[in-house]
Amino acid sequence: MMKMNNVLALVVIGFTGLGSYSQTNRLTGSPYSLFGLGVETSSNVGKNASLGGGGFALHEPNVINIRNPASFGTESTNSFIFDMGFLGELSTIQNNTTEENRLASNFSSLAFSANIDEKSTFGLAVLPYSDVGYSLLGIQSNIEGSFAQFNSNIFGSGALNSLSLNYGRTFFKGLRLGAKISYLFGSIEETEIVQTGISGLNVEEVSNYSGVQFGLGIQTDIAKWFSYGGTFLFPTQLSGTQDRVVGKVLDLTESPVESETDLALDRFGLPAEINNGIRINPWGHFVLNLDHSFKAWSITEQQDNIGDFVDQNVFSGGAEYIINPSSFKFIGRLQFRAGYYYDTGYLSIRGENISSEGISFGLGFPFARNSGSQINISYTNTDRGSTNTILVQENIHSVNINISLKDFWFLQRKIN
Amino acid sequence: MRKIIIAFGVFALILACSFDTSEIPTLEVGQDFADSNVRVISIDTFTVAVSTMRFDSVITSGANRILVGQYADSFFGKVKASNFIELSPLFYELPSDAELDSVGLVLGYDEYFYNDTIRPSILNVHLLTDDLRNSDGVFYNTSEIPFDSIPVATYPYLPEPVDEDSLFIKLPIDFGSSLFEGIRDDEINNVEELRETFQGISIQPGTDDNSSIIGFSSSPERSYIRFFYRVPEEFDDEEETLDFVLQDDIAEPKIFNQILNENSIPVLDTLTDQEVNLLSPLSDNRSFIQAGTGYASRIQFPTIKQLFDIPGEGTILSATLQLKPPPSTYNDNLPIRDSLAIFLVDQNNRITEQLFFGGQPVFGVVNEEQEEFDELIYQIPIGVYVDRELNETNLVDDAFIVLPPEFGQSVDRVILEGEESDDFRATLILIYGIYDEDE
Repeated sequence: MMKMNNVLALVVIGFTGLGSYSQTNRLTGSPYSLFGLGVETSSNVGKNASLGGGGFALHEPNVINIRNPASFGTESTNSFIFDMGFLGELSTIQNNTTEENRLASNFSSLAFSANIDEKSTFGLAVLPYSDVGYSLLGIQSNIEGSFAQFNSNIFGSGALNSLSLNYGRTFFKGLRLGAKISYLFGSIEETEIVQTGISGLNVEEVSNYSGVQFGLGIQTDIAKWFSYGGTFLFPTQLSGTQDRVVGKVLDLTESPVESETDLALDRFGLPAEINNGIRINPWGHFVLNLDHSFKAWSITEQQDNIGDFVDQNVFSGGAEYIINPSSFKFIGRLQFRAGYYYDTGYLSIRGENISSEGISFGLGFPFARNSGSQINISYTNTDRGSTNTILVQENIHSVNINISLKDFWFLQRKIN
Repeated sequence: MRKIIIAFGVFALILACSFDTSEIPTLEVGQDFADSNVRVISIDTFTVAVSTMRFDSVITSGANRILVGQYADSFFGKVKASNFIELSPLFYELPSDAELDSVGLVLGYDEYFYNDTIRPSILNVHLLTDDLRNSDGVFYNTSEIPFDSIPVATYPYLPEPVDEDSLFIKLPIDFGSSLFEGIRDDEINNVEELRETFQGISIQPGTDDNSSIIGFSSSPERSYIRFFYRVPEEFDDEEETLDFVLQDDIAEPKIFNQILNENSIPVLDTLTDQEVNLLSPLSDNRSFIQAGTGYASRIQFPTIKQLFDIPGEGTILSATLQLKPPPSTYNDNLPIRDSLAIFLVDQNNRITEQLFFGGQPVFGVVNEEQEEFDELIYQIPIGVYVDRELNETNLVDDAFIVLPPEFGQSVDRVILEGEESDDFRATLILIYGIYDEDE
């Protein structure tokens, strides 16, 4: 009976979460989000953000690890975890001559996990998959057939979201397997305003994408201090339609040009993804994770406006230290985390890869001794791009705050 | 219970933080970073078919200008303007002992002139022999009211339309006294009774004049017939005046200008009917415009639909027509107006509407930037018209015409270069934006 309640609460709150996504959706200010479907999200569930973003081998009963569905199979009893994330991003963007600051912040993720029995758990997570948020002003282009130029401003916003259902199970001690199915959906709005003389053209495009991606995961505890985790995400394609509204100002008179809905868009291919990670626990309450991700973008043979898609490798590592989780002192139960990652990027603009790297620090604040609930705060400093040639370099300070509540509403019932 | 309170607190905190603070700042640094998704091209290769047409008649009634004069034009031949006007007093009361001293016609210059004002001219004032009235309620440049062939007054003069305020033409006392006494003796008490003896006047230029065409204001304050009379008093006579003025009525106009030309260059003689279009390649690669007599330039873009041959989806962002008057065709005496009005006409050259630009009528204006070497070029913004032509599904042979703003009360002329002129071709410059290259 109690299990049914878990499931019900999960589904209801899950849908509430979906609703709120459609309204507030701006989690980046990166000009690189112009390309493809935007930049990969910095949103976080649990504590992965503070550990360099990886953590495929991590498995803990108190924290959701959406990096690997197998981690849901971590043995625990009657566990219900609820994770809610907030992301704030302050970025500095510069090219050879100019520097600008921008801020984006939002409520960023919701995730739940609930036991079905002692050996298996399923979870539902809603979070952005990629974020779009750019405004490019004063783009000068030549009017073909004349010496004159025209001016255009391009604005983009939106996000692709992922609603993923994860299932993980302990098959025998030290081997967990998991699977996940993600529904990716969202819309990207791009508006271009062209100004030529006293005339103007206004093109508003809303592209809606959706698709399903499957993933498999494994975690195995090779030794007490050493675990391996890996996932494989199948390549998939997102289908898209576009609504386009074109208007213009001609001879100082505004007039509509076109209003089309459901124009067919080329499918957008998401590559196969192979992720491997290890967890090392050399002593006490010190845990290390080392991870590698590979995304086979080049097979998708896609191109963007001025960039090509290239294979992407992400190397990351993180460490966590707790003095003593069962200490009576608050400071003793604090979780200290640090991480680093290097991402080769999936986009090559004029032969130059848009790579990024970041360092992260984080703290985990447990609510009370033995409660399992905690607040995880992480700070990440990311450098992306370069100021070479026409490119733009971004330095991003992002702060993730995640509230992870364990067994919250059901604790009362358990006492009954 | 305590935990639930904490949970709600945390929830509230998150909601409070999740408002959208992200008005995205501008990225000036991204100027070179991305290309516009829109292609904008400039095209000036579409044919501009320029021809000349002539209105059978131009409405000239209701004018606020009395236009009189005659000159020989190098293209339009003898151009003659004469005026027909009914003048009447505002009231029909005079003291019974009033005595007429003199009477004269006052004409106030309105500064309009065309051609050479240094040459002597003649104004002949004729009495109308019929009422200034017709069944249409309008008069045209070709209309005429019969008048006495012998003028009641002849006035030779050197026009000074800018330097002088007005001129005074003395009228014979015989003409004045019959009207004056009729009013004084209560024989003429209203305009109907006035018309039995006085229907108005026509002001004609001298038959052999070749000088200028002059504009006078038709307003009651500037132009009138004035009767100077005296009323005997005990010690000194009191001097008074009675004015006959224009009392115009939109439904029943009391003024019009007759504007005619004859002996034009032979090629213009082919314009025998309003529906005839004289293509500019057949008329020395020029098109001829003259206000008053009804000549206008007619313009079409026969190949404009080839714009759809450009791949992709696009739309017109601006269309500018450039027309050039040959510099040899205007000077200080034959000035060129700095704007031209644009009207749409149907296949029979009947005006259907005026073209608008942002709520205002479209005018072609002289482009100051190109005003090099004293050469003027008219720039006419016709984006709305071209856009409509492109979206028209059925092929209608309509066009637009270009004419001077004071078409009914001036003799302004403009000669334009046609599409095959060696000096300057009439050119349409289109700015076309392609927002989707795939389709």
